[in-house]
Amino acid sequence: MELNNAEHGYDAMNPAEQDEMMELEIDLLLEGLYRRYGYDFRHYARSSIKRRLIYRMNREKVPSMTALLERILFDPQAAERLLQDLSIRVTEMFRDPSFFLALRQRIIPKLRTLPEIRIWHAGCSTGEEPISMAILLEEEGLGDKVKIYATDMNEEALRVARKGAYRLSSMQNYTKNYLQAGGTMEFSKYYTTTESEAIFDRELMQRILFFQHNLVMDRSFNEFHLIICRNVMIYFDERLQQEVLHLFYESLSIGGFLGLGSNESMLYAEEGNKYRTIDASEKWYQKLR
Amino acid sequence: MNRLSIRMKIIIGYMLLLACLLLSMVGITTQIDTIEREVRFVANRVVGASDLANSLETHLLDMETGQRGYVITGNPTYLEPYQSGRSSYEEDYMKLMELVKDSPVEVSRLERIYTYTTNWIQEAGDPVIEMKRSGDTLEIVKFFNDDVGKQYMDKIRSELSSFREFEQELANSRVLEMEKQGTILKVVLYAQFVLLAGLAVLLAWLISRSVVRTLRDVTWMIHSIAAESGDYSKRVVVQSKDEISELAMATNQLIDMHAEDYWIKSAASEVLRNCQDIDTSKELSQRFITSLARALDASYGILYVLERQGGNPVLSRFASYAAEGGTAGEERIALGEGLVGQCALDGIVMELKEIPAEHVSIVSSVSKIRPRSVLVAPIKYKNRVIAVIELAGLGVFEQQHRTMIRDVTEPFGTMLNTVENRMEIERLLHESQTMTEELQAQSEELQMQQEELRMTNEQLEEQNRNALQKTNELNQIRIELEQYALKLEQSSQYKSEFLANMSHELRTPLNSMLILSQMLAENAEEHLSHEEEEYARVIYTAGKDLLNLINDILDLSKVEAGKLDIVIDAMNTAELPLQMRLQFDQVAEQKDLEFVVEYEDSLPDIFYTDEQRLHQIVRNLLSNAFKFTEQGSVTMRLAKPSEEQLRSLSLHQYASDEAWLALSVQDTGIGIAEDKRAIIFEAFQQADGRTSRKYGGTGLGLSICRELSRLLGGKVFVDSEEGVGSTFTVIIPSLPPKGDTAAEEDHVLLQAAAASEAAEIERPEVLMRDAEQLAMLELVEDAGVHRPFAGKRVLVVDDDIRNVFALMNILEKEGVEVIAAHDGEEGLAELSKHPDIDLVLMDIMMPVMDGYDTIQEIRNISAYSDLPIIALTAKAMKQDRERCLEVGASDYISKPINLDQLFSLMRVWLSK
Repeated sequence: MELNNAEHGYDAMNPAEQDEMMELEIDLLLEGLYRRYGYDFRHYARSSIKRRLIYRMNREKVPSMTALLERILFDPQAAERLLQDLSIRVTEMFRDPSFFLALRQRIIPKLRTLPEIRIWHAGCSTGEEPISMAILLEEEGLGDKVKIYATDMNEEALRVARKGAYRLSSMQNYTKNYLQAGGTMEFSKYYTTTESEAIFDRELMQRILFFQHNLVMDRSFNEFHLIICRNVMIYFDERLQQEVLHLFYESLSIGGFLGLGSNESMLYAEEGNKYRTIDASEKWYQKLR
Repeated sequence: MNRLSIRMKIIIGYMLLLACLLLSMVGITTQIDTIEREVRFVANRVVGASDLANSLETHLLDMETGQRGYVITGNPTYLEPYQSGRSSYEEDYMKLMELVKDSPVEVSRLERIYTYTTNWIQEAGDPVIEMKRSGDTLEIVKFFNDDVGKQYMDKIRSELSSFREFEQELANSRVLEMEKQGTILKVVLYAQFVLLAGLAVLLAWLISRSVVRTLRDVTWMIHSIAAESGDYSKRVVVQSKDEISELAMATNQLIDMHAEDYWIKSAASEVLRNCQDIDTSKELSQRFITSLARALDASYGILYVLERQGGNPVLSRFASYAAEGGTAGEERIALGEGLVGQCALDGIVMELKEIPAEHVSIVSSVSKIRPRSVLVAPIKYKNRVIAVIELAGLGVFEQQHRTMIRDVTEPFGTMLNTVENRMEIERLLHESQTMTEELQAQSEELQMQQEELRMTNEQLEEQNRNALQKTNELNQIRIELEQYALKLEQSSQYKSEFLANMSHELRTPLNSMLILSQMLAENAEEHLSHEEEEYARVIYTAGKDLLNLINDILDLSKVEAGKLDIVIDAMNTAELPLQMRLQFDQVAEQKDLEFVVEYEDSLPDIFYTDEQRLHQIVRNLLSNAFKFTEQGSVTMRLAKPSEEQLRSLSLHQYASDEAWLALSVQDTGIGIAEDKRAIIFEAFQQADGRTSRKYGGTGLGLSICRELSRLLGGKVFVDSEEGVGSTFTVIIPSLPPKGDTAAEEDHVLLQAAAASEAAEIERPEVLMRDAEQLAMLELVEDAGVHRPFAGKRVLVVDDDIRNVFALMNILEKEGVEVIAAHDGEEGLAELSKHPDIDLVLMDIMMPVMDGYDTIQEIRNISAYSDLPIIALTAKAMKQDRERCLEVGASDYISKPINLDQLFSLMRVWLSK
């Protein structure tokens, strides 16, 4: 990652000073972003944030973080662009199929007896995972009694999610994932296509409530039997992870399940001992008390 | 008694017993002596006396016998027993006398016997002997006749017999006495035994009691200590000074020692127990120093842990107990610095008893006290100092304290090490977790960037393609337009002709209707009722409106068709207001409005334009103005436009030396909202849907004005304020004739411009909706956007001819090139013939080689590892689908095939 502008003050510093200065600037920038727009990235993993900010800095062609701060303070559109950068939207349908297979085989049987199943996809991004969930539950015959709450802090992502339309080229991969995740029907039954997009069945989409929710600042809004939050916490620092895990703990019913991303863990959770590990490799946990 | 040793006690006891035994023995011996004496007495006295009495009798007998023998015989030999008897008698008498001298009765009796004896001798014995010797036999006979001696003898004999009886009696009484004494002795003996036995028991009890009680105390004590919950608070109470008390004291000492040991052990284990299940070294240290200080009664404690800071080992304060506000003691201490540093270096416990004044003080809320002793001890792990504790107290640290510290620091070292190791492991775990997450985040970011890049690329490509396509399209459009213009011209002509004819055809009957209804309304013959008259008027008015509409439509269609002829001719500008007044004064009067005409004098008198069309424009504007004005005025103004106005309307290209005319109509009506101003000039548009309901009209008027003014080389524009009024202004040039040909050219030019502008109104997209146009376009277009499958090559492998036929039919309509095969082998053969196949539709149940095998075969060919193969299966079983996927199908679709679904699938699997 190169800094964009050679004439700028960074050049006069040695690398340690540069780093220190940049840290300070990032602190200020995040504070500014928070105070001006209410988005709190202060407890995101610093390294990732830094990369995103430098990326944005280069894209905006500004010489320094401070300049970037100035720009985002006065230009809401620049801030919006930065926000889009900061929210990573990498997701797939049935991402890590084994995770969904474990869900199908080990979790769903335990949910069957419930009169109503509430599921929370925290950080659903562009909605691929909640739709996968809706499909899976449909195939398990639980479609009617399930409510999927899919949240993300990024309105732009949610807008895409609500459409439920994805690029045709991704669908090949999604079909593979679906099959590996133990799909029992024809994946093609769930969508229709246009020239460039596959659009998911309206009825399926109606099972999912998409709305904006910021894990960093917003509180619990219901009690859930299943919470899925995958590859969101990897962007958080330890403290924030702890807080978010606490939020999940509060939002889970007793006996409810929590599914995390393949590289995430309960290591930072204060309530770690109140969970039972259902599947250590697929990161499925059950709240015991 | 308590002062005596057990030996003494036992000895004294035995001595006492022996003394008693002796005493009783003495008593008994005395008793036995008495009895012996008695026996002896009985033996000596009674037996002796009897014997002596008997010998006395014998002696007497001897004397009597001797006397008689002598007397009888006269032999002197017989005198000898007499003599000896007499002396023996004397002797025995004395003996007897001696024997019985203590009994006066006996003595007197013996004396009597003696007397009798003496008497016998004197009266019988001796005289007889003498008589014999003298031979006086008569006297002897006489004597024996009298026999005085016999009397004495009998008396003696009776006395002796009574003596013997007495003696016997005496002996008897003595034996009785002895028997009695013997009985007493027995009783005494038994009594003494009982007494002695009692004494012995008493003594034994006393002595044993003093021994056993202490022993029992000791035993109990030892038992209670040996028991699990050893109670070290009790001690054996020492009541005596004997060996047992020594034992008790020794026991107490032992207990003391044990208690110390126990304290050390329990305190140590308490401290260590407190330190269990702690995850962090800080907390562990705090817990340790706190419980240690409490256990030792220390008032102050600090724990330093050896850490590595930049390679140098440094002792950092980890925990403190009662240290001044938690700040006493250095935060960091270098190795060898001060006592603590030295201790860390040497690994030896150090103790300070003389505390220097500047040393730490123990602080309570009310006082500061200097401690009496300070102890610094190392904590080691595997013989390596890993931490140091410093303790200070108001008391002195005893040996047991030191032992306890030693006992506690060793396991604590291990604990601390374990916890630190665990923390390290945990930290590493966290680190690795963080790194894993970081990696994941990075990979996601990368993915996102890749995605963005791809998107950007795609967009660029798309733009490129679009640009290319646009160029193509533009070209096509140009060609199309040319063709279209031709067609349009034709169709426009047809339309206009049609409209013209139509309106003519419409107008003829309408005219008759109008005339007749007017006649009816006049009711000249007065045979219509008032009501009927009114109906006729309504028919007339409605017909008139219809006629106007038809005229308007005709005008507009003519303009659009370019068929409106413009006839430029000289016009007298001054006439225009008069003519307008003529037409509208009456209207103004009817609506009670003021009609003002302003005329700028500087205007040229003669103006070259199509007067008729200009009139039409102005009429339209004025009738609009009157229509929408309820009160106030309508002003018509004729003036020269400013340069600015001309420029802003981009009319300056026409600006020649020629004069321009600005004709404006101003009203005080309802005005037009800003957003509606643009649309009012469109055909059939009014500012508001409601307007037409209220004011009537077709909405063609302004449209016609716009078209006409354009034909006249000018423009019409509006200026309005809602609720205040509107001003419509027409600006037209004067077009003086430059000779015939020039005028003709101008005319053509104007016509063409009007035509092309009219064509522009409709967009190509709109045209495309038209089926005919589409068909035409399709001829020109070669590939793609609208037919995503065009040009794709699809292999259909199915043994069901109907199916193949159906699929072929459908797919070929989409422009797909379909290659059919009837079984797997054929399919493989086709595939090798056409390596550029884009997609395979594979039936599963086929003869020769079924779908599963075929798919597997295809996948075995490396070139086709990514070829999309869609399995067609008539079975809805899950296993079948799984089987499909196992062998390598990309996706599956069940028969009967839903076409939409098939197209969706094909889109997905053909997308790149």
